[in-house]
Amino acid sequence: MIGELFVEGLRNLSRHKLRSLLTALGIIFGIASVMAMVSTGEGARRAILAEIDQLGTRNIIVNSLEPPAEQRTLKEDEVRVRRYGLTFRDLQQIRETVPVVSNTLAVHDEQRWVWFGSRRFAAKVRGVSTGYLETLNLEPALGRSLTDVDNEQRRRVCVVRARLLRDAGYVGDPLQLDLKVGDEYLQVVGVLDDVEIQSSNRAVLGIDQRAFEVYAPFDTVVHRFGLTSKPISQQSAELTRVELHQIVCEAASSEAVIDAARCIRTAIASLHDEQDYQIVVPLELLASMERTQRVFNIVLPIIAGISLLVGGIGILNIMLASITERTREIGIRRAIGATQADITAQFLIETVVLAAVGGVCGVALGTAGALVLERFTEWQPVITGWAIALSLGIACTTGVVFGLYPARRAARMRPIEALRHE
Amino acid sequence: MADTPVLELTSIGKTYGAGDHQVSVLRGVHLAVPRGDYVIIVGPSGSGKSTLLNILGCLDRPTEGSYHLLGENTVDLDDRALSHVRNRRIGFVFQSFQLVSHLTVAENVELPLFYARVPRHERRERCRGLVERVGLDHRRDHVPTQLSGGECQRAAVARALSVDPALILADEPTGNLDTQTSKEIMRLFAELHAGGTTIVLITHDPEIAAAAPRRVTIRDGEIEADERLTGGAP
Repeated sequence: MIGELFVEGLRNLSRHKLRSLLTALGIIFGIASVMAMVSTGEGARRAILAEIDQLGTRNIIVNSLEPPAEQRTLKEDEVRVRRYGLTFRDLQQIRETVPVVSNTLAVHDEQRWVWFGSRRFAAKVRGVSTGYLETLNLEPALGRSLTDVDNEQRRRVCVVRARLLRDAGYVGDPLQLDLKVGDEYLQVVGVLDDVEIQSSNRAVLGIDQRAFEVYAPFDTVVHRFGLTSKPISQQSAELTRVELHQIVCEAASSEAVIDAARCIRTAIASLHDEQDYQIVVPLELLASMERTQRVFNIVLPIIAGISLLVGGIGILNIMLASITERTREIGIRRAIGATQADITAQFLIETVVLAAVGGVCGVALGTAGALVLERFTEWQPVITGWAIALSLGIACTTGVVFGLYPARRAARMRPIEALRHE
Repeated sequence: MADTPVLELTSIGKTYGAGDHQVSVLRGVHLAVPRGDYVIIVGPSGSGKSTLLNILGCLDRPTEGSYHLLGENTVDLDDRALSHVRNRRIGFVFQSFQLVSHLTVAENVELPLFYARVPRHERRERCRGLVERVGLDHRRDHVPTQLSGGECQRAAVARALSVDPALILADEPTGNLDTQTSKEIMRLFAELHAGGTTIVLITHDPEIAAAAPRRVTIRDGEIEADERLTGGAP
């Protein structure tokens, strides 16, 4: 019986297609906006979680920052060395004065050409302490990681990203490759899979998008390439000396991270005249994400509520008009034996069908909108079954809430008067 | 049960309004209709016959008296129970047909069965027989606007018969029809009567009034005459 009422409702709505469409428009847009918002919110949440996961919740990352260039022209023949950023002194200071940090990892970067025959690629050679790759969840898919022995013996070994080999068109066994980096040769011992790295994550990790990274033992890099470097592509006399480009501190526990970050900040603040470093705490990203999420959780229902209120009022209005128009029909149905409950059910179901159809269209529109956002923006919306269920639930609830009054009003009409209605 | 009249009105009165503006439409109406009887209630407009019809059809309540339908007093029933009485015991035929305009003939005929919670396949079956009986086979999937007045009224009769009611209540069933079609419809009622159906038909047209074995004349809210014309009812 209920099933037939649904079919009947659908038929009635399709008798007035344009009117039904216009009525459902409010619901359609309301639901579409709910879908789009929930999906982009969910996408943002997952992206941040993935990022935090990658950076490690126990890690504190300190990066060197290049301060604004000084306005001083060089004299002829003068060789100037620009010094900035983190130093071995900072590393030592952190190791000695911050007790909750269980491990510190140093990174020194060098820009070098990587040669494949006569082709060259601008690469960033990252001299890293043993354990760096593991701490940042960079596990070689092929070969091995870098070890203490590599570092102590200053072995000329390296771990590369699969992308470098692919772009270079290298087809042989990567582990047989003696990579020419600048004037040195480094034996490839491991290959990392290409992991999509979020754009904001790149900055934190110090990854230059244009450069390919080659990971080598810290001491090897410092010994072979030195600490003072000059830009590889520009013909500039200016040299820079950055002892450490990055220090990754691992806190003993995730509870200690915030304390550790504060200690690190005070520990190295006294060693720097200017702000030539930056401290990133992934755990704080988590906290800030939760704050954003809270705001989102308040704003979303308000926006959804307003749009559905508007949609619902549209439905209410058209249903009231519809029952007036169909007074005779109601009278006939009552005369031949429909109870008030039958009439209520009929109109309520018709309203719910309208709202549900609007909801389905809204979900489709919202999904399409999310896909468009994905295509043309940096956001990566995630459409979950949960969001679809929620949207349809809201649509149906709106139908019930705003359909109840017109349906009751139809049911309460007096049969004799309804029959006489012209 | 065989002796219980299908319907029995006792001292029915109906007044509208209150206080000084009270208008009495029906006064002390007594009427008993035995099973299988065919009664035509005739009266000029304003005589209270429409009010009487509404009361007989359980669409309205009397202000005084009692109305027993198949031995059950309907005066105390609530709206829901009255709906059930209308659905299962009364078949209506109206002057203006009162078919749901967007449903087909077959769907209109089925409608009372839907409210009687008869399963779909059984509805289909019963409806087919009824549509055949009133000669609308070829029109079953047409909507009322595609039918002539006579066809509409036949559909309405089929609908009235669908739940196999104890009483067929017809309100000016020929009022919107031409003479020829009126005759056909009246012949249909005569056939139903011959088949044992109890019919109460209300009209203002004295010519129609001669079609039934029993005629009740109503004037100014009171029954003026109740006469058997020919042979009589069983």
